[in-house]
Amino acid sequence: MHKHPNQPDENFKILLSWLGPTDEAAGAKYEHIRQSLVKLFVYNRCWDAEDLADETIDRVTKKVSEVMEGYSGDPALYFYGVAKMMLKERHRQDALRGDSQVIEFRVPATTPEGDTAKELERRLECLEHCVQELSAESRKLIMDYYQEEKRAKIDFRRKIAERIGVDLQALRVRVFRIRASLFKCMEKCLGQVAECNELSPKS
Amino acid sequence: MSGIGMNEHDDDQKRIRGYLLGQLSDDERQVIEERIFTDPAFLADVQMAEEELLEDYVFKILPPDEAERFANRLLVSPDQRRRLETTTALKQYSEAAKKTFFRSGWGLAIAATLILAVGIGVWIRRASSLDRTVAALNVGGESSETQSDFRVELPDLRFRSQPGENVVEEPVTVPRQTNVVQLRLPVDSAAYLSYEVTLIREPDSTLFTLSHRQPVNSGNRKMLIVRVPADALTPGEYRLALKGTTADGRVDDLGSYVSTFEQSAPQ
Repeated sequence: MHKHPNQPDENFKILLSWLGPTDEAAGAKYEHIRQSLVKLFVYNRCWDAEDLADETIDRVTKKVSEVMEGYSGDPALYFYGVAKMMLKERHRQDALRGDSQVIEFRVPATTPEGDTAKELERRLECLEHCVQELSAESRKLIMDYYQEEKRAKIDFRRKIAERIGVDLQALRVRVFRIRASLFKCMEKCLGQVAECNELSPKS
Repeated sequence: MSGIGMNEHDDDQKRIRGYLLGQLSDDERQVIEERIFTDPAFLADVQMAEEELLEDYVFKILPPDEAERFANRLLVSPDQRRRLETTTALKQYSEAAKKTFFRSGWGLAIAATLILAVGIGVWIRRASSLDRTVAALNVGGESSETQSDFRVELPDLRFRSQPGENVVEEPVTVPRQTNVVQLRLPVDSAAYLSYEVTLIREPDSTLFTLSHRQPVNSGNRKMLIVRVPADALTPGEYRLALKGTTADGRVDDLGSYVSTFEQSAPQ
């Protein structure tokens, strides 16, 4: 479970006890709330969604003892309420700075300046590595899934679903999972590459 | 799933898509967001819909207004941009694997077996490194990551040009520290659905072809942007050939630019 490092252990334990009767249930609920927070901020055009999600959890955790006493209902909705307040704060700040319309220009560069071509080359190397890490069946499925253009893609996917004996919804879920594992592998691979580059002596 | 269940599912999908594209009222948004927080299965549905929108964006299936909404709303964070890059790379990788596979002339069954056994990676290792780099460099449109490019603004192309036309008179001198050269071609976006750009080192050495290119807004103009690794542009004469594809699939040869590239002298 991802626990924000600034949380004092005692409050965090109380928070978990509020979220579920067992450690396992509380952990699952916590992860779901954190993911929901990240997505809420992402869908509201915040480029620092992860930080805002952690800040929301921080705020709730600090007050958890008093909140729990008077609150009835799903704790997740309390987090949602706090997150909405934070969104309002963010939009107010953006409006004051006059830059709410240019949020996309505040996206930090994902690659260091001047290293773009090399970085992209590494991304493709990692993709190659991660595709090879998939099982043969998953690899074939994902490669087929991405091959066709436009409307042909939809018909082709229907054929894939028929071939493997599932409906389109089940195919979507299967591809979603394969893609999630690919993205995870890519993150890991790119992270390792970046780490190696930091450690290697500069020529 | 029952008929009613299926309808509910379809309605959910429409609402989720509307939510992700910012097309719902405040009340409808609130309902969706509360379900995201209280129902893990619904959150998974939303994430799946987000991935599919990303795919539709990469495959250029989205209508232009939805594509713009998607880019403005859902390509904001570094994480989302990385996912866009990975999805685009995956699509190119799959398409390239397919082309190689059919060009080889092997039977379907043999080739499929080989693909599984040997792995598609074999193809990618053999593929031109420049093709791969150019394909990856040209994912998406303009962003903060392209700000350090050396930009070359090309003049309006005289369409269906004759040899000798569209010659860029002054040689283009690329500064030594440049990593990426950005060629910017003004185009008439209303005439064509997409464009294909081929860079040829004269007289006849094709460096790469980029297909399905869409123009981006640049001031009050539409520009096709082609990013090329600077080290691929060794001093010499180059031709940039442009084709346009109409909505009904017709491909028009639109002519080409001819330009000389030089490197600045060492200091």
